[in-house]
Amino acid sequence: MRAGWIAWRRTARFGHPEVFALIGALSFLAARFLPVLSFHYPCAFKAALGIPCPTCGMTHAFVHLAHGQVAAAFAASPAGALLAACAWAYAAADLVRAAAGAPFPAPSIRVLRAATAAGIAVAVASWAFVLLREVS
Amino acid sequence: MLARCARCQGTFSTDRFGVQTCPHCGSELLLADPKAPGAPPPAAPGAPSGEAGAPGSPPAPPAWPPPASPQPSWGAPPPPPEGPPAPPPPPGAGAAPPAWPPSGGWPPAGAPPGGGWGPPPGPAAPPPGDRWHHVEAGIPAPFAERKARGFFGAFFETWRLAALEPARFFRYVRIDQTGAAVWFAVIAGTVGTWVQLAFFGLTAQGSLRAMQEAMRQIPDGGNPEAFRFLEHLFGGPALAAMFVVTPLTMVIRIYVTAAIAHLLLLLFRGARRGFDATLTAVGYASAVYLLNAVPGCGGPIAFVWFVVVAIIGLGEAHRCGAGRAAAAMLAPLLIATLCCCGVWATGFGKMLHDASEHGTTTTSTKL
Repeated sequence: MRAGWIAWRRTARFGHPEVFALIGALSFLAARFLPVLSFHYPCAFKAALGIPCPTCGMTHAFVHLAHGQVAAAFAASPAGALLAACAWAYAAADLVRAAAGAPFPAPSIRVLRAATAAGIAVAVASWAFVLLREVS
Repeated sequence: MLARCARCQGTFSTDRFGVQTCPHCGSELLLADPKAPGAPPPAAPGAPSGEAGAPGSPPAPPAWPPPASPQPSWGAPPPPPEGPPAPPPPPGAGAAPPAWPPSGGWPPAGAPPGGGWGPPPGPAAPPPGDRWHHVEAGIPAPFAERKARGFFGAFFETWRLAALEPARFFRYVRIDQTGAAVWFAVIAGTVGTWVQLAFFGLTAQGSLRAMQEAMRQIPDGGNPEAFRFLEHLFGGPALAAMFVVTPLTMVIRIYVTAAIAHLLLLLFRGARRGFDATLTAVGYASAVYLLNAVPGCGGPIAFVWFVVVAIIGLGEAHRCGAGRAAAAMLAPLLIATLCCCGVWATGFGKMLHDASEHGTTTTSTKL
């Protein structure tokens, strides 16, 4: 059962994909129901270097997106909002897949390489966005 | 099932027999069906189930012979050795085996690795006394045999091997027992963090008083926000909550670290043995987080040591060398450093600093 970009694999009912799905689901629950923004912890990177770190704004992005505030989430950190959206979509899809006993759609190595390169590019672009926002 | 390419020696997962393409080198392979008439017996559980040969070649024998097998299995079976039989192993090679592993202990440092990691396949017999030429399937880590060896003995033996002899350990350890690796890392990291938290709790009041004194001496009174955060952090409920969630955060940390490392290894073409190898390496490398228990310097030392052990472990477990593994582990840090240098070189950092000093930006970036 191969389709070029994706190989459909029979996996154990609870394996590594389900662990990642649970981590994604937990991140949604924490962002939605825990008062994570009430802890005002300073960024050590910014304290040391004077510029925001690449992950600055991600907590706000997760929390805003978990509360349905899409624009606020992207304004806080575009990469964080995209990461949250992808993680939660994957978690929902994989938990349904595992419950149904369907095969796992494993992307090919080329797709994973391309996705990794794209992820790095998005992270750098998001960091540039946060830096520009600090100045403006 | 796992299969190994006879050309590039890379392993890959497949769900069928017959002709297929190696994902590493692109060559066409024939994976013999063990149920077919005249096929060799199936491989041991947990081991790759076949070594693929070129189409048209004789049916490939099982890729991973049992440990007692005297010959490695490289594609077509090699011709029987001619001349006098091989000399017996040197004295001490097989005598008085230590308690673990059962087949004679970990190979000595510098011993040639087995399976697809080492000299190219050929008819040459392995050197006499080398019992490790067929350990591509791996040796269970002591912690994976904790029921037989005793929990604490197995834990500390694994800790010693992973932290102090990482090259040898990760070259030979089995990569299909990821549960043991994750469980081991969770225990080591949790114990280290718990001791660290207990130390924080015992010294919290004194630390806060000292900080208050220090802040009174600062002309503008310091950063009250940071002080409130520390008060929260050192408070009893926060410490209790951290105690409870530490094992969960260790699991998350191990899986997320392994995922990022594996994706970057894929990018650098170093992920040759699948996610299990990465998770095994990251899991056993996390042993050094036990050093978090050392007050003060334990955390930074543990982090640096972890990075070093993980680089060695990924390089050995994936058979990709330390260079690619180092690139995968250090790429995020390198990219961030280069971006910081770029920001400062273009004068952008000074603009940010000035803007921050003139109050045109927020006092603390939203996290």
